[in-house]
Amino acid sequence: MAINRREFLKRAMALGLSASSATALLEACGGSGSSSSNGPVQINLYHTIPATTAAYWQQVLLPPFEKKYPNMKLVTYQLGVENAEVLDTKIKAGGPTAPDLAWLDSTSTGAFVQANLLPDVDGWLNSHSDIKSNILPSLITVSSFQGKVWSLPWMTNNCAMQINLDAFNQAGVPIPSQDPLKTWTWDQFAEACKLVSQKTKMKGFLMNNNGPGWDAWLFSGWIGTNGGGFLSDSGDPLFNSPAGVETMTFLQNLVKDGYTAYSAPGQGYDPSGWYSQKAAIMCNGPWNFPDLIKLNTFKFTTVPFPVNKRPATNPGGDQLYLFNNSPQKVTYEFDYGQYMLTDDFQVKFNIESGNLPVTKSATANPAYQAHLKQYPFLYGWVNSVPYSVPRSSLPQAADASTAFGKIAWDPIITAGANVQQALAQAASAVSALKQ
Amino acid sequence: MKTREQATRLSCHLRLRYEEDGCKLHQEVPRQHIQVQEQEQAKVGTVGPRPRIWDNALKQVQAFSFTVPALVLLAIFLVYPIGYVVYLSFQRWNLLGTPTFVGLHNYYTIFFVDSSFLQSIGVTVLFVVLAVPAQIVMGLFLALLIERNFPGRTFFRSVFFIPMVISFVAAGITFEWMFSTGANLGIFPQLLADIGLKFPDWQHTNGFMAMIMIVIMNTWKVAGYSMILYLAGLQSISPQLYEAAEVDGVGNAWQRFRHISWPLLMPTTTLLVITNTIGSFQAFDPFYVMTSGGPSGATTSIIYYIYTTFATRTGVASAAATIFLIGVLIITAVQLLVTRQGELH
Repeated sequence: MAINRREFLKRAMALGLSASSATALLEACGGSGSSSSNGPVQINLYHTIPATTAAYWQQVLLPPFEKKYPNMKLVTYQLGVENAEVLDTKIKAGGPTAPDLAWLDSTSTGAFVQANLLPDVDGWLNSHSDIKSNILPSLITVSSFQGKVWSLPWMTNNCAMQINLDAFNQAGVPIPSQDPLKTWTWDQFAEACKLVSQKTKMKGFLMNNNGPGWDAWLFSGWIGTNGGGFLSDSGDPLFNSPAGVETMTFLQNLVKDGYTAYSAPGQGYDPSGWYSQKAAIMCNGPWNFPDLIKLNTFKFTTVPFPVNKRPATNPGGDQLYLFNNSPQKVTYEFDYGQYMLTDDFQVKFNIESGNLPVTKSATANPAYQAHLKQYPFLYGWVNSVPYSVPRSSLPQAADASTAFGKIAWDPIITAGANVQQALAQAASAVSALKQ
Repeated sequence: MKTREQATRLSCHLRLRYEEDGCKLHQEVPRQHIQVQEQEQAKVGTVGPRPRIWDNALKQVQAFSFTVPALVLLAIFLVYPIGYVVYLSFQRWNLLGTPTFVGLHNYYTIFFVDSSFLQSIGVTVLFVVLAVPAQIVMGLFLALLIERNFPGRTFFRSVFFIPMVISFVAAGITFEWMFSTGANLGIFPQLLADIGLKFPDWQHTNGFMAMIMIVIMNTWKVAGYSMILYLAGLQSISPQLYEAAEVDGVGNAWQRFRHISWPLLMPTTTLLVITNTIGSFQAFDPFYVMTSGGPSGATTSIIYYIYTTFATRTGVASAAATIFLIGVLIITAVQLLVTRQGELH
């Protein structure tokens, strides 16, 4: 059979294009290459540590650890935004850069446990009772889900009231105590907001809004001081209880009376409105320490949440999540966790970052105590730690916060909605999230 | 069975047809050339001409083979993702672990349980209804403004087009900062406050105003695109039409625009309506940057809803995305149908 040359070339080109496309497709669908069996074991640590602290951590704190474990190579990745979704995507993508360790808040625990991603941290802690007994008890609770510990606390923080002392003095408001058992009450807080608003150019309180996660987190501190909670262990809403109604009514009245200024929407954590003296009181955390120590436009301090029924605060901080990628890696991951819980690491890291140590011995450490004496405004946060009301680690906790923020907090605070109705609607939405 | 002569007669009429905008080219291979070929093949003992069906099939395969690379890319980046999203819409998943089949539960959730989705549909439709006419009107206005030759025309044309080059994120942040009604007022609210007026609190209490601010920013950002297309359309209109109209008594500018420019700009307008509608349905950046979907969900568009739901309720977000896809396809089909009917008319 004779085929003319032009036809032959056409068919050859067609076949070649098809074959190369198919090959490229197969190659793309294939794995990304196997890891080398020789050389140190690579441990990928994902974090969102702020830049200056991260530099200190990598240059000062990590080298001694890496020197001690030459068979392990710790590779750190800056996620940029503390967003569990980004980490979830990295986990799902897998490959040689899949997370082995992660710095992340405690709310992801439930989702990680259900996906069977975590090793037996509880067992490891029980076999290291000296380490377990040294961790602050409230942080053992924060690290737990369904009765078992699943992560190790890296650093902790919470929220307290940052107050402009100059404004308080000008308005004749007494400065509250930094002892949560002796600090101000809700009524005294409202009175302070009123006096500041009437006698200075500022508003009393910087009110967060439109940031569902942040709003729900702050609310958990407020309702905690009223004896209530946000979400039960089984995922039922608690914020629509009488304590929740009373709390939201109190906060709504502050807005209605004109004693508050709104933060930028979705940026309730942004202290610029407080720095620029638009409001005298702001609820925020110790991670602002590097900026606070440079603040020289007015005098300030921090005091605990005002109390209605009991002292409380909303613990935050970040955990060290260990991922069960391989037995060899898990061993090294626990080695890093153990190093992270030493006094030397805890004191140095938290002095640098402004956050709070997670162990009793680090908190009592002379170097850390000297740091607190040098910056006494830190006591507002430190003293509140024992009264932490942990937030939920259920998989639907993030969605519950979003539902609460959108359906209850924003309409109540910014639109003057009926408190009971809004809370009931939010509770209904949260109940629907239960699996 | 056909005789050799019959086969020759049939096969000698080779016609290559190319259709290009109504033009047809026929090429017939001379009968003599085919007969010579057949004789040569007979000499070397080759088989007779293959059946026509086999030839056509081979040609089809050849043609198809050249499209394989494009089809592969289409499959990877379009068909597979869409198919996977539709698959996920029937699953319960949160990016971790294994998806669990839940049937139509996610669709039930978005329509009957989670009111945020229906609210987001309303928000998106409102945005499209406000934004598309604004973009077209502003684009047409700017094009009419700079259509005529005047000193600095090129400069103004560039100025009006520059916002297209800026990212939505940068534009959104700048607008949000300029019009901020938070503790630190933006420059415009501050100016109003200094003279005793109050700028509507679009960031906290006034949801409709928040939408208006987004539409304003969006229009400022994309009107340049409409302007350029309208400018091209205006410049393609023959000046003789205007001269003839003037002779017929169409004197003022409004009448010239109404009776000449506007009808002749209909194809451009149709294109802009379709593209701007699709683009507006897919808007995300302005909502994310300027308002974070607030206040109270007043600016939570469908895409923003999908974005905020995807990580923790992937199945629900996928169901919303599937409904959105179907909706956009229907709207686009309707627009094309109306356009085609208008053209036929």
